[in-house]
Amino acid sequence: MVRRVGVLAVLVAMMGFLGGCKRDPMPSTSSMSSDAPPLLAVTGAQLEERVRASQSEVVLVNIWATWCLPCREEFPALVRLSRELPQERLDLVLVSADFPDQAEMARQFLAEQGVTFPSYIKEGKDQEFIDAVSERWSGALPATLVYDRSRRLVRFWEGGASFEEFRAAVDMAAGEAAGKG
Amino acid sequence: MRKVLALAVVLVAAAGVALAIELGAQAPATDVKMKDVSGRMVSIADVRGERGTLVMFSCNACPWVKAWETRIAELGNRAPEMGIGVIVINPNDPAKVAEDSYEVMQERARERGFKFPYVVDDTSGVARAFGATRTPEVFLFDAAGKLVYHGAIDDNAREPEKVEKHYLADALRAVAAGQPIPVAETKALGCTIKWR
Repeated sequence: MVRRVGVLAVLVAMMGFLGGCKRDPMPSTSSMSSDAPPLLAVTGAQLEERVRASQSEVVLVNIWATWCLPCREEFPALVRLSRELPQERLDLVLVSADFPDQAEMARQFLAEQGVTFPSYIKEGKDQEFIDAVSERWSGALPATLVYDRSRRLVRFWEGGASFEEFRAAVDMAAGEAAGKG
Repeated sequence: MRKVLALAVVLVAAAGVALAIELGAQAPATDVKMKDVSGRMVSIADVRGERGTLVMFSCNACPWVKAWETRIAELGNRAPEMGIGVIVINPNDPAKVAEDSYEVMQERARERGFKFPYVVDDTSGVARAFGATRTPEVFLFDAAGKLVYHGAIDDNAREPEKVEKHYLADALRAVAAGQPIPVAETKALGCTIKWR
């Protein structure tokens, strides 16, 4: 419940700042699966702001796509992580890099994986998005970025990871944040 | 301790991220012979052109590659006419993605009319030597063998008619003319290499 309330608060906050989006991030009701979680269009700059505005101790951004095998393989570990850690500890920000016309497929995948909280789909040109996310990112998927309490990028990698690896990265980011007071 | 070990695994797995060869570097692993779709064994050195050499890491399965495939064929087929040698290298392990098999490479090369070698990096070692991370990923070398362009094919994989920046086409023209490359490093989304 704590998690659910937390993500709803984030959704409300996001609705505010995404108000300036060029296109409506929500799908038409006719094409939207009834149990699919919200999928909001996000530019690289908006994603940066989303990370900065988070109230959680650690923010983990995972950029994935439905067509990306290692992304699909690691997804259950991410969902488990979000269930096991409270929102105050971890803010999991999932960003689909699917093409805009594949948004419905992305939503279905999220629903199948048991994601109930809002997540995002990349908007805009690749280069702009990649540059805004991190200069360390080559553009390969999946990409994972872990930010500490001061929103410093403390862990980054490309390619798949296990639950233990995600958990260790989050714990380390939290520990580093605590160490710096 | 387990957490530290797990993180170490992540960091080792990510070690290739920032290690791509830098602009000005010579191509590595140029003598490694790789099997072309015709069955010939071909190295990067074998295809080196008088004015430059285009090395592209690609595959069959990645949707980004598929989106760009017609342009890969056009640019790859046109480059030798400009004195630039071409080799397209598949570093992916077909045990991880069946569509990346040698047989599918043969079909794809036939369907798309590739006139350049499309080869198997059967240890992923050539991709590692380049520090490549994804498919498609382009490395273009000039007549002196120095890396002068690294990155994407253009700025719009999915909608060719909406391309605004023809990065690779512009770089090929510049290399052929012995001119500086307008934009030497670019990025685009792509599929991680499925390492062997």
